[in-house]
Amino acid sequence: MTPHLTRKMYHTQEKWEKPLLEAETCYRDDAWLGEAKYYWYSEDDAIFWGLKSKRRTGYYEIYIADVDCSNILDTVFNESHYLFWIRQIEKVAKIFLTRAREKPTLKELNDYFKDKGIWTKFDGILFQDISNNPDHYYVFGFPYKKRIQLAVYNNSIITNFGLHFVGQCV
Amino acid sequence: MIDLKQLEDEIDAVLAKETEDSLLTWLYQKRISDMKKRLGEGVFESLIDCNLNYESFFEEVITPFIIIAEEQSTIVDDCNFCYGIAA
Repeated sequence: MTPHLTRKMYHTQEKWEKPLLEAETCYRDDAWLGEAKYYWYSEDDAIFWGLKSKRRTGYYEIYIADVDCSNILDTVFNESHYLFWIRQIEKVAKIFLTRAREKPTLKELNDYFKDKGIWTKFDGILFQDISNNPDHYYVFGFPYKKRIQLAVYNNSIITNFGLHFVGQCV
Repeated sequence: MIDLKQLEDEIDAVLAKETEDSLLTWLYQKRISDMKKRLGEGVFESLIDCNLNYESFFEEVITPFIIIAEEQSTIVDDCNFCYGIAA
């Protein structure tokens, strides 16, 4: 039996008239892992995102939820998942290059995995990048901290979603 | 728990069937459908169904403009020139 791994995770949005009942789906073409509900692993990163990118109304909202991570592709903490992930991305990209002489965009790559039913075999993908903003770190010139997000494809792994607090963009 | 081996086998099976034509058809249909989404609702003639391809858009021969630069010369009005000296 698969052990349940539940994490507290955070979702950032602009302040709305009414609080959200569930996380907003991101439809942006440049969303790294396609159409999904994106959650931050760290509350600090959720706040940072609110201050940086959710400024339209002058206030941002941080939501908190319990996320069942037992059936996600964990490219951050699970080595076999990470190696699997690298292999698949490069495999598909190379096939487009060698057979069709085309380099797919990020959105096309995500759409391909989705159209072929591959991204539907798990509930989400945990991934990371490294912020290049020096304000993100307490040590000068040392990006020691991963910025981790979960792209959720199956909303049933989310429970206890609720407003954590409202912050003011300064 | 995700069965990575089974998932990789499924991905390999999908990719094994892909040819240049199937990949390009998928890619161009995706790009056209995305373009339609960006344009919004409306009547838009399907390019795929008409058996057109992207090269069709470049068949029209465009004659380049020919720029003829006339030789520049300084015309000296003899009369004014003379007048100028005289003044």
